[in-house]
Amino acid sequence: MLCSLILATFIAHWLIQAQEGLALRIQTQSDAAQIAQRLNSEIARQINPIHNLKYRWQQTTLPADPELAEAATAKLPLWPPFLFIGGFNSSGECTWFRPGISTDYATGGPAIQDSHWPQLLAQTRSSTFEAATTFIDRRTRQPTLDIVIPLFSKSTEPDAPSDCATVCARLSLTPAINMTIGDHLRREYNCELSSKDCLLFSVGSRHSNGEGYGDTQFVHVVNITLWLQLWPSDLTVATRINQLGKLVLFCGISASFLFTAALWQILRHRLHSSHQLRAYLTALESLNELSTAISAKLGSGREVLDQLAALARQLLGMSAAGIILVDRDTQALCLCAASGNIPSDIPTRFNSDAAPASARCIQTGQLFFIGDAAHSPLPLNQSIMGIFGIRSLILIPLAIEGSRIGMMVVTNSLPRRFSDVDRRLAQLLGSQASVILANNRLYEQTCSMLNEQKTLREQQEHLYAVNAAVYQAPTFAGSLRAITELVPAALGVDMCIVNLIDDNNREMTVVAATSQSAAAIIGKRFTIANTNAEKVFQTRQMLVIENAPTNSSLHPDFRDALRIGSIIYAPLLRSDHQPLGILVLICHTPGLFTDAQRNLTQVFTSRAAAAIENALLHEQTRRDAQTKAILLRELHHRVKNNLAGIVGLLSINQPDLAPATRQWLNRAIERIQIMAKTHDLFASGLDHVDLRQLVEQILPSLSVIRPPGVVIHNQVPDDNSLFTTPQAVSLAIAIHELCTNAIQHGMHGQGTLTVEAHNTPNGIAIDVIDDGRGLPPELLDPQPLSTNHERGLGLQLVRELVGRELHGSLRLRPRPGGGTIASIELPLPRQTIGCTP
Amino acid sequence: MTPPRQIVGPFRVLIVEDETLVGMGLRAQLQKMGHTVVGHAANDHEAIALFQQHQPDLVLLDIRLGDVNGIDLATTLLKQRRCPMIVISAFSDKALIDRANAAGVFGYLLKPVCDKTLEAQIEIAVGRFTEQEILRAEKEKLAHDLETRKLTERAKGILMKRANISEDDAHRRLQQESQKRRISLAELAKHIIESDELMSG
Repeated sequence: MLCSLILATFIAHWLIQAQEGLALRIQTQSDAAQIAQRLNSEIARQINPIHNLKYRWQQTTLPADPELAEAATAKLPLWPPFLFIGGFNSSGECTWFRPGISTDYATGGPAIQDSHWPQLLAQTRSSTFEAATTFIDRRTRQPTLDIVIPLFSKSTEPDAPSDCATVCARLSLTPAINMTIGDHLRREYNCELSSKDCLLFSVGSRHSNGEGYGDTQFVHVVNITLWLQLWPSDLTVATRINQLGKLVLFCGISASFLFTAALWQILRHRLHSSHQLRAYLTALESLNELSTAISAKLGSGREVLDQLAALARQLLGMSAAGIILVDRDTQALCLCAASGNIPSDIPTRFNSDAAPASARCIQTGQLFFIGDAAHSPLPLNQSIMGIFGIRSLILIPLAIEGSRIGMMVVTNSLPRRFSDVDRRLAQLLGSQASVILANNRLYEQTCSMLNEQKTLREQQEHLYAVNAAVYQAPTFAGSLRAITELVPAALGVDMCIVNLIDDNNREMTVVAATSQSAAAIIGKRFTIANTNAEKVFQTRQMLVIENAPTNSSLHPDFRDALRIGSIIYAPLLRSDHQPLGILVLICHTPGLFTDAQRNLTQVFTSRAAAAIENALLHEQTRRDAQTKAILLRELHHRVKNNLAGIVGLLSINQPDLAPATRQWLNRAIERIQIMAKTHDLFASGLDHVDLRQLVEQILPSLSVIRPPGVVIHNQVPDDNSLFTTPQAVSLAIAIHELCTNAIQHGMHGQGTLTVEAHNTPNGIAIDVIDDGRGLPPELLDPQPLSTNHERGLGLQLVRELVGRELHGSLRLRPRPGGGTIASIELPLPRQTIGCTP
Repeated sequence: MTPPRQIVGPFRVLIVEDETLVGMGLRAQLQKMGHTVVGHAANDHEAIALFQQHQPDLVLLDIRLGDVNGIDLATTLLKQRRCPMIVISAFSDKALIDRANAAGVFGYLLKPVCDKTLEAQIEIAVGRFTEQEILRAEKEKLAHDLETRKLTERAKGILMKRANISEDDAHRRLQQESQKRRISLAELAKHIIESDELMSG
């Protein structure tokens, strides 16, 4: 780099030198004036020897006429396409070559016109030492303005007119001209012409004596000038140029050095940055890995914190790290995890006063970097610094959702300067640690909640099982036994006792207890007054005694007998909130009951109360039903007996009655007896009787009126068509009436009477069939009108009873082959009769 | 306003009794007494239908009709038409009798019913019903008269004020006007009062 810079400098230097002409070209007038003065002085110093040389070299005087001049120029065939010029004397008169002569003698190109000269002259005059001329490039024929420097050499040449002006011009020579001139000079003067050289021309003026000096002197001067060009006219210019070059060179080299130095610095910085970046990335990766690893095995809180501390220490390159959390209850600071060089017997709890820096860090939520503990901007507890051997430390606050939970402290046993990367890493570690802690807390909370729910569900399932068992128990005692046997496991107690309040509301009886102590206490009675039970009934709330041995409200005998450690009295309340009893739960060891236990006990107690109440009601209902059945049986007995009594009354002291009256009375007595017999069927405790039973009960009573020739068949099938009491009584009377009618009116002392039953589309039909003489035509259907005749036969009674009480109908029809069929058709559900059609 | 019917036996009787045998017994008893049994209903629907159909002079009601209460049925029937009713009950507790009384029945018989008590009860019930009907008619007439009197007085006052005549003249004019227009005095008075109210705004 340096080399190339230096090289470039040199190139620049060389270019500057090469651009010398250019440099001159762009000279300002003042520069030109300076150069001219210097040149003048140089010329003044050196011109004489040159003149001498000239004179030695040039003896020829040229004629002062144009032809001569032309001839003179012709003598210089290689002379470049200059043109010339004139001088002016002190009086201001000029003598000039004719421009036509001096102009491009070789090609005859455009000449400088006379009219140019006054202008040039004016310029020369105005600046006194400046004149300008136009050089014509003979090849391109473009005029080129160059600086013309007037030189005054009046003092240097003895015979030269004093007011002769010498004009010096700097030519930009084309290489070709250069060559020709160069060749010429080399050949003629054995000297080298370089493009740097300066060409001087002088123009003479007239001598003071009036002798023309100009033209003749011109060639002369040209020659002089040619000689002059051998003089290193670039001396001063070159000096200046050299100085410029040197300056450029110096500046270039200095700039190169500076540049290189800056580059070096940048490179170094870059290198350092990339190094730090790599370290930072590595740290981030480790942090990420740790987070992932920790997320993967959430739940082991302490381990996670230890890992976090280790990572912080490692990432920040410190000797020890610890995590301090704020105890939510006491606001003390607890060292929860540590890594690195930590003494074993360190204190793990501090008050916030004892660790002011930590407290401040937690309070403000700011990171603190303390490079040297001895010169800390924060107040530090130097004793702690001493114990841990801390010289530098970083305090990183930890916060979850805005609430500050603690901090991480990373320490070193040496002082240290913390870089930006350290700071950013610390910040990242802080946020990462917070996230990990938050996750961990969340996980722990979720886990504990899940566990609680699981336990609760298990207990609930237990309770449901208990409930089911209690409800399914067939008897009241069974329900109570189920409670006492199953509840201890469900509620997590050792023993359960159920006490029920007595009817007098002053005493309680132990009705059930868990089997191990059941025999000893079941059936015991105690008064409620002044016991825990009374308190429970007054408050309608559970009473919990968690440390029974020291509780005075328990009777010591009771306590010792049942080995009571802790006890719950839960009130069993009826649906109207009146006390029903108490559920006593006993643990053999003193101790707290959990909230879940209490809640479950509460829930279970209300269910158990409902179950016990139900069981009691059920028991009561069962007893009531039994009583009712007995009463009903008794009632039927009474009715039967009363009816029998009526029959008896009617038979006592019977006077002599007319036959019709006697017949009527007998008929009434038979009817009453039928009613009595029907009731007798129910007196055995039946709710219903079936048709066959009923008919069997009726038929024997016909034996009184049955003539010996009449056979009675009961062809009613065994079935399950059942009748309740009122229906049975009505049906019995109806069948009896029909049978009586058949025997008394239809049959003449002989024949067969059959009672049948069969299914009809709507129910059943009970047929009373005789093979007697048949009905008189006015009674045959359809003639439902009640007639006196019918009334006499009791058919109206049958119709009323069948119609009103049984919602059926009576149908009379002649039997094929003689006799009558009386059908009682009853609407009954179809399948209630089992006979075949 | 119709004059109360003078009910003299024999009566047309409706029996409401769900026990067929008891109903038949009652029917036999009533027929023996010379009354006509127009129907024997076993439940409330039948009872209401027969009551409307036959317009009986007397109703005998069992107090227990299956699920229905005989006293409630009596109340329902009485709302349709005023008619003497006798409740026949197997129960004799005070509360039931009070309820029956409140429902407006005229007799309360305990089962079993013997002919004599039944006959006496029917007579008393019908007699009291007739008496009550007469009283009711009288009360209505009195109320009507009072109303007429009030209207006439007001109309008279208006006439006296408007025509500036004496009370006797006003009374006379009202009577004449009533005869001339063939409307009752009360109606005329009502017209006068209405027009006076209209006129005086």
